[in-house]
Amino acid sequence: MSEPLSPPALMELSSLSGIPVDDAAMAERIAAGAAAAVEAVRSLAVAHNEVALDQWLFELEPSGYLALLEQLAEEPLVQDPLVEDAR
Amino acid sequence: MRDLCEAVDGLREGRLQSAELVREAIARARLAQLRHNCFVQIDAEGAMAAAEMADALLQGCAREGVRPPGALLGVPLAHKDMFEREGRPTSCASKVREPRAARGSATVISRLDLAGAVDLGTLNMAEFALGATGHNATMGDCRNAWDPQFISGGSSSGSAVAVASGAVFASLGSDTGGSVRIPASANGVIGLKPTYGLIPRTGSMKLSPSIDVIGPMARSARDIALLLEVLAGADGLDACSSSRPRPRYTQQISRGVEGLRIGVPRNYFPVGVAPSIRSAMEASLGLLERAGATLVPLDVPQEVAAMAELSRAVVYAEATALHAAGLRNMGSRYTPQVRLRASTGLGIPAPVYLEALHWRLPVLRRFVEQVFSRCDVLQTPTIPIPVPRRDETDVGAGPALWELLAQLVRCTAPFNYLGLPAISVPAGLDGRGLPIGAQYVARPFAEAVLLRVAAVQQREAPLPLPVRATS
Repeated sequence: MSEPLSPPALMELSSLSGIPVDDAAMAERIAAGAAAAVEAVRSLAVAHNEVALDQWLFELEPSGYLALLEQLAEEPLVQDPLVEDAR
Repeated sequence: MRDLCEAVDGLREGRLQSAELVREAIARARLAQLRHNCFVQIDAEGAMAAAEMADALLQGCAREGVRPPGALLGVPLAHKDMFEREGRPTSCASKVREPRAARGSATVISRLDLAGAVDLGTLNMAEFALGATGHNATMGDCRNAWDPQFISGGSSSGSAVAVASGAVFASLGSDTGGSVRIPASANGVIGLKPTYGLIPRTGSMKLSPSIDVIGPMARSARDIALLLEVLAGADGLDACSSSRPRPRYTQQISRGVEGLRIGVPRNYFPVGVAPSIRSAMEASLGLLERAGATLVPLDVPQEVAAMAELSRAVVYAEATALHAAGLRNMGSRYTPQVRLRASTGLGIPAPVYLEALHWRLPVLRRFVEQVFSRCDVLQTPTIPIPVPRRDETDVGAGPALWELLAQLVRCTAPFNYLGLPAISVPAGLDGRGLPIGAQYVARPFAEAVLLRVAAVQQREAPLPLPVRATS
């Protein structure tokens, strides 16, 4: 399990980005809120470390997400002309 | 009046007048506003003027013997206050921004206008859609339609409550972690989170563009089918909207569930489910089985346990980027809780955010191949715990609050990360008389299958509107 960012580190990020964080208490809550999300990404990467660098460099492309959803849909459809009539 | 489709039929057949429907809707909206605080604004004057025009058009068509234009002509609707309408400010249930009249209308609003819907006003929501409970310190909390002591769910709180209280026949919300399905479940209405990309988001408020979808809520599955026909399809402006051909949802819906395989997860989703919710899920499965579906117990990929958090990595990072200017220049105008949520992306390193986006592709492929090769539809609870009280989930509620909030999105957020379509359908009441929702999930763009399941469940176990809200 990775540690959440420390409040001073969060305050430093706040200062660098110009996005204000009031105090250490707010920084601590932000760090705690983000920690589980960061840990989930790290754990997934560890669990699937067989995924080759090549796949990252050449295959995985976030902008291909919609195309993948379309590809995983069940059957290709022919547009029903009546659908447009609904409007 | 049972549902939107019944109202449409009544108007077309001359048995109803739009002015009469809208007048009644305004009265219900005012009552619902007093009890549940579900509206931001009720535009009684504009709605009555639009209703009178609709009646004139309907009467003209009847005289000429022609079919009236528009699938929703004369029907009162209202939507989450995050969709731009030309000439009107969009508050996003916040006072951070100065009111500014929109220069154009969101694609979904234009499509509903073109279909002839009458706009009754705008609905309450979590400030900037950042919250799953319906609390809003700026606009006031939206309260559950069945009992105001309990949360409405959010972020599309007003949408679900306005539909459940009978003020409008249907409403649009948005869903980034469960924001359509959670309030739909908590208020006993149907709410659909469509496949990512099915409904274009042009002109709607962004929370996390990689994950945001717009979804309808209504009292019946056939209403959702009709709305989907009006709303779905690329608009040429939202680069993430799909041009894939669509089925005629209103015709598909009557096909029943015979032969459908309903997946019943053995891992992750049943963990920590309250006994009353578990019983309701089993009852729903029983009625689907009696209607001809086959139940298929199965294991979902283990990584589903991480998906709610993977989704948060994306949402936090994108929300903080979108709100950066607001946080820098007028941070004090945000309510403290929402400011904290909007700032959480500061703790997500950029490579982690991008990794979460990259991982989504292989994770989605694995999930669809493993799960939907064995079943057509997966069933989970929408909310695995009984609807919490408002005071249990308010800012001062203490450390237990965070666990409660995590539980609220536990079954919904994984499907936002995956972009899969999911529908919440009323599945009975718990011992306190509050609604329970069953969630059904399908492969991408299989909304028609979800609507078939929802229609059967609703036919076999109908849920009335809440007595307290409508009396």
